[in-house]
Amino acid sequence: MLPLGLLTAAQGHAMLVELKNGETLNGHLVSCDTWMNLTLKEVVQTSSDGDKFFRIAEVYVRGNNIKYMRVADEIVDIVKEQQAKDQAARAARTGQDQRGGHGGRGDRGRGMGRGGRGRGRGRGGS
Amino acid sequence: MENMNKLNVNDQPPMLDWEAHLRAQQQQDHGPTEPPQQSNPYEGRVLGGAVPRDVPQLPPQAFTTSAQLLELVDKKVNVCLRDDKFIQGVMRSYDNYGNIVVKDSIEKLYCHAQKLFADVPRGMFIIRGENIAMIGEIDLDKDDDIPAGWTRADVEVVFPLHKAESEARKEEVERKEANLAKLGFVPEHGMEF
Repeated sequence: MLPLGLLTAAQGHAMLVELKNGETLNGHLVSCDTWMNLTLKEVVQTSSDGDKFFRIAEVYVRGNNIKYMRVADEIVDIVKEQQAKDQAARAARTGQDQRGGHGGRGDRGRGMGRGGRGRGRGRGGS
Repeated sequence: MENMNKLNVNDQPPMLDWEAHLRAQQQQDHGPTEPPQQSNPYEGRVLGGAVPRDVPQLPPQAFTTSAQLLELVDKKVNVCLRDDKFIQGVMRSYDNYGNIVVKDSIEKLYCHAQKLFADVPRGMFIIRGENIAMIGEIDLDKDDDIPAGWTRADVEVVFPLHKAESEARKEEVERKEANLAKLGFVPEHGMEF
């Protein structure tokens, strides 16, 4: 699971973001993108000295200002569950297709997943 | 065109004949050499890889992309951030930007004056690659050994000392930079952004 994948999985959960200037933001992650831009809600912002606190309803953070993020350990379990679910759904879909449905689509799905070149190898002898 | 008809998907790719390429170059540089002995051109090749043995390869230590983080995955690592934080934990993943995920981490606080240190449990980190100064694997055999002269202390004791020290260091850097600026140097920003 890549760091940004983990971040995506953390959507809707509480997290702590420390910015490069030392300020920290405690809040719930609403959404994020591949640049690590974030929107947080119900945020408590702490100054870099750690002595001033501000409550803010919603915050947008441009990704390049982030130093690090701390997320709950449970996020990993959520990711694992999600991955297992996805895999099961995919397996169910390809299974259905193989039993006689519209073969083309299922084939493509599976091929992307685990290097589908195997099928085409035998074609065209010398 | 005749050749085209005989092609097979299982054929070796024909265009990457390094040996022929090198021979041609050598002849250009040094004139004709003795004819090369006939040998199996595919000997020593793995998975259709077209690089023969004699072509100099990059030494492994020159591998300076984020891919070198691969060998640290699932290892206990010490991460030093650019703002002088030290985070120790198990590195679980990384990406092309050098962003890393560190699990079960502790932050190390140090007071160098009194040789005190403390561990603060911090859970899971997603660290943005830009802010990492260095990463090193921790030797688990030596991990529990406390360096000679150092003492473990409570976080409540070490934190204020640590904070005072890093603030003093920051002031020192600022003072130095101010003095250098007077002499026409452009201040470098090592720790500060």
